[in-house]
Amino acid sequence: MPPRWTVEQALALAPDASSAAAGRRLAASGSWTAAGAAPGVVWGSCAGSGKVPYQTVVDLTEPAFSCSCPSRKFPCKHALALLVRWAGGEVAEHDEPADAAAAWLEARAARAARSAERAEARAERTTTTDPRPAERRAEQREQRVSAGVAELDRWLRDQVRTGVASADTAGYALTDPVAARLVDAQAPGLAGAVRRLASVAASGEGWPGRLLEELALVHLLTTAHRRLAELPADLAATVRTRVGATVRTEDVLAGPPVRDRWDVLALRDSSDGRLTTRRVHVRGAATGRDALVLSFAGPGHVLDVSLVPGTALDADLHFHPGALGLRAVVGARHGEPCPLSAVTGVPVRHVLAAWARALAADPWTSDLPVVLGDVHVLPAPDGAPAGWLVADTAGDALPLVAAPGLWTVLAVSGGRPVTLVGALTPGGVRAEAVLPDGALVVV
Amino acid sequence: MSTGVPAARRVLGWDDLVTAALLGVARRPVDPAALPGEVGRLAGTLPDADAPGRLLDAAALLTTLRRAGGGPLLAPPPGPAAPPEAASPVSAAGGARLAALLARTDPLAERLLDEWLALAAGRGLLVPPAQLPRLLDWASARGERGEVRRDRAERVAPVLGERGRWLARHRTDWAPTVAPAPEPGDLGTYGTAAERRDHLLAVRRRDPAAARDLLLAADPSTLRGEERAQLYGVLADGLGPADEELLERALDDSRQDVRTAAAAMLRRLPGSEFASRAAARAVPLVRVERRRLRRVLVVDLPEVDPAQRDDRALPAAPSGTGARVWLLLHLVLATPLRTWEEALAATPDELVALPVADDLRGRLRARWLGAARDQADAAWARALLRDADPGERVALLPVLDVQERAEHVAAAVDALAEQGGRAALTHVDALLGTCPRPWPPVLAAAVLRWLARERSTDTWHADWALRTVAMRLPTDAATEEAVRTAGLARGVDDPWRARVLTVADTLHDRRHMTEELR
Repeated sequence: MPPRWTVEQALALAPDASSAAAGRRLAASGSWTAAGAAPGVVWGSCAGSGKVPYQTVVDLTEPAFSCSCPSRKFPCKHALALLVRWAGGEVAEHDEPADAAAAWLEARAARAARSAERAEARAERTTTTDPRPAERRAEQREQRVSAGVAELDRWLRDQVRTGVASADTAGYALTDPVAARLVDAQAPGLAGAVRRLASVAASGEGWPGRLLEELALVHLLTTAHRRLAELPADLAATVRTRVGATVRTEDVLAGPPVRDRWDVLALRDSSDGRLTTRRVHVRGAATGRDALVLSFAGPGHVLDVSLVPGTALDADLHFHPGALGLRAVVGARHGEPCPLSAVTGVPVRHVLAAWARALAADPWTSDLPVVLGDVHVLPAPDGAPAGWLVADTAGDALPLVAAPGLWTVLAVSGGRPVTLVGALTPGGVRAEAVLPDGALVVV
Repeated sequence: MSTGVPAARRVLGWDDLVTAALLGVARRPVDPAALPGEVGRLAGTLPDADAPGRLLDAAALLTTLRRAGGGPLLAPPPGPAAPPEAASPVSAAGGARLAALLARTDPLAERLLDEWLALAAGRGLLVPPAQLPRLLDWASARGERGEVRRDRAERVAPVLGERGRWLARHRTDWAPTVAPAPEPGDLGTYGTAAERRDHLLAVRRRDPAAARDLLLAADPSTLRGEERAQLYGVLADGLGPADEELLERALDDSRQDVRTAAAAMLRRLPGSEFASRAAARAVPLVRVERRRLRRVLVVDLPEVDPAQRDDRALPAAPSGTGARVWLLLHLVLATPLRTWEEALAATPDELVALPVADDLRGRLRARWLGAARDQADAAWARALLRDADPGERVALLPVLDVQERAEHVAAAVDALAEQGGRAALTHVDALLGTCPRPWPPVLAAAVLRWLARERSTDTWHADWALRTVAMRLPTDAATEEAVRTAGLARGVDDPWRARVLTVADTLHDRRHMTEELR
């Protein structure tokens, strides 16, 4: 049975702040009856504004939710409240789930079994029958991608040949047709890069230089893809991933594990409207290796909450193939989350050297997890480009990307040197968490 | 992060590549091999025969070089660190609750936040540093007309601590929350009119005598007349017999509104000379006579004397009211109420019940009510409350002590609950507003009965009353349970069900808030 959650973990599932607040208050009220918990499942009935109380069931393993209320939020406030009550120990423990909960679980299990059977049958068909259709499909895919890449290359050259002076006013009309064709060509990574070109063009003062940088890097990617066979394996894997080939999680998990006590340092969610990406920065206590664990959720799904910043996890990490070896997937866990180890950072010059090494391995790097040690956050002196700097005790500084989290860092550090967890981007350091006295504060 | 390759005359730089890209290599050809150093050498070896391709390749080389090769910036020396704290922060649970309250936008959240801040300040605790930015944002939020909200700044000031004040100095929009310490300067030279008033009020609260000295020293020529009346109004805070001398002098001031303000404050000092003078003039005018077997109060009108110094403090009479009647009513307002009891040998209840000749009863009663309030006379307040209308009740109740007030309000709430309707709801809200927290059991019980029975459909007014109820009911578990039961007992279609349950939830929140801040 997965360990009992904390109230914070339960509320972390909320889709927005008002749901979290509603869930917290509903947990406290006396409207709950017939609530219970069994290994892997929690259930309860909540009196609502309707005649019949709402039945809520939560399957803890995924987690998955079911509630009879009419809310379209996912998870609804009843599910959140039920989890908060369970986390607070106010739900009776049983060995077996209650009837209604058991029925729902069985139905889900039956659906999962059926789809697993179908997947197995499909896999069997492909392995027992001729492997050639699968190979042919893979070949066709490769051809489609190459054709898409070649078309993009021609488009890039055309842009530079005729000039991009009107790009800042063209808007997405400039790039949407190209991006759509790249999606058809099964190169979603390139499609995203092309869409970003439009937003860079519209980014205000200094846009021509930034646009040329992005155009040049996309061109570099298309050139690299054309010469994929000549590249070393790591770089080839990076190029394929950036173009948009997906690597299956099962394949990554089949790779060699790296076991360590992984300190969970920072968590950041970003959304492009369709998909929300959760990026968790972990660092191995023994290996000192930084890794990024990504999880995704479309609308109607929840993000993974198993990695909580400020805790450490003894687990196996499996790394995606690539030149930098940053992205990883969590495999086997060897215990409950434990407290954070002592996290030490490095001075600015070390971080810059690591950044240069990363760029040498993967020139498209735009986000490198770093931990800076003994740094101050200061306003830039007048005359310098406006903004803030992060400065170490050796007198070196890096720009700090403007973000609301800056004020939390300042408040928590109080003008004293602190360890700062962040991501290095071409524009400077983006602050993600700060450790004033060993306790992690996410900004 | 990067310094760029400086453009020399025959040597290319990044900016030249950008210009070529903007205009198009067809119009602005560029030879990447002319870039300086290693980049130019590499660019010259690129196999791409196509001009745009060569430009893009060179740009890729240069971009990666600029990104990777930039050195660190020079760090300016760090500013002063925040001083160490004298007090300790609230517990983690308290901090989490503050964060949750700051994230909410409903009006109840604002009241709960005020309570949280008052509790924390009362226990001498500070806000955890991680919550400071959000709290400072809340405290510096401007009002509807863009004005600074001093009330929020004042509530937040005690819990900021050294760290909070240090942090606030880093941003100009947080500056109003770090209130400047009152300086012992004179009023003429200090800031804007509003700041002068705030400064005088702050001084008055610290040291009433110092505020009097400041006012005396204020040069009439530098302060505009309207402002002086406002400044004199500050003396109403913490008014006492020691202020009498200054107020007497103000009765001779050249401005009407200063004289009126001084008179209004002297009326609150029934032991003053001003009050005695008014009594000496008023008492001879009033007597009890027997007319047609009834006792009647007969009032003579005074003569208007332009030389009378006190009368210069009178505001102008409204049209339709004679000057002599107006003068009489003001004399009655200023006379200490005890004088009537002695002079007419009657109790307040008897006097209030007496009919009055010449149709003066209503206006006389209004002045007695004003006097009861100004002089904080509980006996007269009780007498007047017997037949008071709702507006009079709300004015008189603050004179009574808390327990008696609660009993009155409890009885009134029971009566109004029978009545129902929008007017009743507004009165319930106004009456409940006169009783401070915590409510005695008699009032809590009456409110519980009201919560169970109220049927009005005017939910907007109901919400106002319910917010007062949610914030002032006792927070013990038994009361919460009783409220919740009342809510659950209502039908599912009843709009009051959810509202009453919200009251129960708020009581729960408040109780936990108090425990977390222990």
